[in-house]
Amino acid sequence: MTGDKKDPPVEPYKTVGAHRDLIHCVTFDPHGRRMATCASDMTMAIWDRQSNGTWRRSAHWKCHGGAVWRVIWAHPEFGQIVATCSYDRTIVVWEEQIVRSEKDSKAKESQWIRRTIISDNRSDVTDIAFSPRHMGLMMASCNVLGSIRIYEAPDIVDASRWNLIHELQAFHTRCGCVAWSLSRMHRPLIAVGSDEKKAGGKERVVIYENIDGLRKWQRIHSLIFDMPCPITDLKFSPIAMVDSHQLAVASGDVHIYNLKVAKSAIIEEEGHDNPLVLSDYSLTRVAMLGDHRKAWRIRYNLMGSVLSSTSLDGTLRSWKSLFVNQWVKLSEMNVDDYVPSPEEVRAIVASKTTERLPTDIESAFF
Amino acid sequence: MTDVGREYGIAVSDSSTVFAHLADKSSSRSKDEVDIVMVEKVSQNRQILSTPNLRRLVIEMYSVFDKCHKSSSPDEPLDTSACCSFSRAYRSVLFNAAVSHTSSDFMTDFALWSLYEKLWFGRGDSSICADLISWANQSFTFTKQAMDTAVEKLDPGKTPPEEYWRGVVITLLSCNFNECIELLSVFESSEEFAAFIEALSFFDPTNLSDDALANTASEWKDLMRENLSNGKYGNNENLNYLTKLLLGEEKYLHSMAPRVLENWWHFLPFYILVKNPFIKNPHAELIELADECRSLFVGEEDENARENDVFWCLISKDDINFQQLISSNPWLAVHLVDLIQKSTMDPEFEVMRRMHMLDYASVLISHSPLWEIGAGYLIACGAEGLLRLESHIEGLHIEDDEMAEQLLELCEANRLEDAKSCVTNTMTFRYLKQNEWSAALAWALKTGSKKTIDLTVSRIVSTSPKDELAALRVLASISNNSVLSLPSLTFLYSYQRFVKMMHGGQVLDCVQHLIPLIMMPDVPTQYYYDLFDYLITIIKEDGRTGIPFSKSLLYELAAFLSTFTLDKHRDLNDGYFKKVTVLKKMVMLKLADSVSKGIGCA
Repeated sequence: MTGDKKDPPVEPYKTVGAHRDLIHCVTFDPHGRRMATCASDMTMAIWDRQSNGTWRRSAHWKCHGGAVWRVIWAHPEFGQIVATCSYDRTIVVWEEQIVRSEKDSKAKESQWIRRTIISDNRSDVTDIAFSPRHMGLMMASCNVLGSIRIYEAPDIVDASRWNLIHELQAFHTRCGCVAWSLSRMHRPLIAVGSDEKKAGGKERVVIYENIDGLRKWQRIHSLIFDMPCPITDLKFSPIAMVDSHQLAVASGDVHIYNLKVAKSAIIEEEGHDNPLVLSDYSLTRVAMLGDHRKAWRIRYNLMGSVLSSTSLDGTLRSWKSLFVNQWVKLSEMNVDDYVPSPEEVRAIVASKTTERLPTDIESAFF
Repeated sequence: MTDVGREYGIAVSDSSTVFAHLADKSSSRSKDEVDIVMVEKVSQNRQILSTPNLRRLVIEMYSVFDKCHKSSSPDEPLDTSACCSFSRAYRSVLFNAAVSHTSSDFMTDFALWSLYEKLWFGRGDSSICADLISWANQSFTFTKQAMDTAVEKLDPGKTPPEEYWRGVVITLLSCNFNECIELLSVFESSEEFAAFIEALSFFDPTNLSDDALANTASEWKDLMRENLSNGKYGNNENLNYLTKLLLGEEKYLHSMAPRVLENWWHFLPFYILVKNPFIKNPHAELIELADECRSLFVGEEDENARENDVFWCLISKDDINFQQLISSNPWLAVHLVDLIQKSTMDPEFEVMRRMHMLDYASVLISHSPLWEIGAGYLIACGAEGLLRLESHIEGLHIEDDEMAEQLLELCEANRLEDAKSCVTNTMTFRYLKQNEWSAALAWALKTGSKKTIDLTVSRIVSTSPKDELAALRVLASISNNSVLSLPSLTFLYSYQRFVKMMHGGQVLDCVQHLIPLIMMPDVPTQYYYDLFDYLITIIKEDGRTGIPFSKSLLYELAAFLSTFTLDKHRDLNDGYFKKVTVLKKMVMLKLADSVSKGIGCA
């Protein structure tokens, strides 16, 4: 979409934040108007896009006793909820609460409240993922011992109570990533990948199917992925076909699979499930998107038509789906083209009032 | 998405990318502090759509599209006059954008659309040459600039400079003869100039459309030929040269046109005029002449150059390449292809129309605040568009009640049940979390979902202070039918009435409501505590105020309380049990009293 045929000049917005160590995760909220960052310094920050397009850090606090590895946003239907996981073996659920200002009773202020700490993992939590909104407020986590734990908030208005409803042993090695299927018309699936280097190629991705009638998640043994490298991420496409899911797996390059489902996995009208048997799935790899064998995290756009991958070489590559199973590279951006040089950074830092972690912030949240 | 291998994180959304970069440690002020720098790369679409002029274009284009869509039928093609009328409306929007925008691209879009309209939307009852000349006069705004430059460089009393003649030839080759005459008249006229102006004025392009006057074009050429042979332009080589151009002499055309005009299609109307102004068939004769014109202008070129030339594809009716080439400008592609499809009902255009429109609508919703317009396009795309709209609504940030109401209306009108539940649930839970009980209940009722209403009522009943509950405005507007349809709502409704009476000091009426309220099904357990308290207080006060209790009511209550402790023993604590025990005794005493006094009814 162009007004001028040549690209308009890019004036990236630069801001200075105050994490004191390596940032592990930067995540947009589902609307792209808020952002959460978390870092090795045990803190996380929330950033809000201002009306002029710039970002303002609206909150920053110590949230774990170890490096904070992931931060994820729940669907806004449930409120402004984020969850973080850490090497301190815990998952924490945070919720923004709007309260009346003490100074001015009409004005409202926001506070991030710790709703709960889930500390029943017996090892480092490596990834967390909220379920799609139609399933309610649920969360899956995976850890270095290879297990997946699924939690549910029974009262979706109350994010302080989370019950462990399932525990699945996917691997006997490390799990690195977990993802929910997003289709409403099929039985839910959870895919989990192992980023263990020593794991065999056929033991790097496992998929579970939810059979609600039996109230359990059952491993689908017929789906065997032969992956060459450790799995760093996997995502289901938000758009599913009538008879198949699409799954993208980052394993060096980005591999795209179609998971063909049997009719028994299709949820009928009125939410009635088909017979309580494990569905018959089959797997076809439909595309391999070259990412110089360095793909790290992947993401589908809202319509499932664009797949983006960040790579270890600092490149963001995007592919567009043209027709069924055909993908074409859309763009390639290297971080070095956008991130300023150390000299520029020094200039930016000098020109801004750098926000520091307030000393009293810990007591405000703990 | 995060990259841990290097010292930065990357977040990707549909409309922007943020790189969070760990700054050079040496730039920090102390050893243990490290700055991060966040750089945002906003998508090109988002940047473009943040331009006010472009937003205006999008809105105006949609306004025309909406009218066109509403006045067309899916089964019948638009008639020619309606099609031309909508086409003119679209062109007018493009022209306004071109005038207010510094980019020349909109003018090219305008020229392209205008040419399409002249060649393919019209009735075909006018002269192609006259249409092309009129197209040139409307679309080639660069002639105005050439004129201004020519006049600016003109020095009175001196020989006209090269820029002046350049301006003259540009206006001539782009068929803007009036401007050409105006420019020639600016110069101190001589006999040669006067003769040339007279010859040029002789031509009237409208005569080409009238068969009776068509031969005037031949007469015009004869006149120029005669002037040239009679030496009417004297030694003025420039005027002689211009005349040879008008007479269509190949070597002059070949030499001059590429030097002064940017594109071959700027030259096309003049070429047709001087080569064959009487062509009738756009499919054969025009294509042939356009081919000659292009070859003469461009010279040797790559094999694929024609496929990438949008004006050539338009004239030669290469629809597939034409659609691909215009797709980079969605406001052009979406509306032009839509109008072509509506006027031809061609199934091939139907596929392209849907594809262009779905993409354009998604861009509008994802990259700008123009979601309503995006939704309008998606609705016009049928089932596929509605599916996409549902996903988009679930991804939209709902700013306020007004936006939520608009979305709800959209969902209900198009039966988007999932999106509707997303919107209403979002608003219900948002207000519940802000303790805005009335608003939460109002939105819960709009969900139509028993589960959400029960959850909301239970939350309100368990959390809201009594005075706030008594002030719930929304309950007053609930019809009795809807109240009776859900036990939780019935309880809330009755409870509110009871609390209101208590606040109003109507103790007598309170009793009539309190006991049935206690015995209602599905009363939240935590509410019994307060209800029992009220009843104990009233019975205590009874001795003083003499409130009569009916015997049958007390019987029912006594029976209820005896089963209550059995039913609820798991949910109740010691305090509850004590309270229930006290109440039981009081009710039994009251019952004995009623029996002895012979009170039959209240």
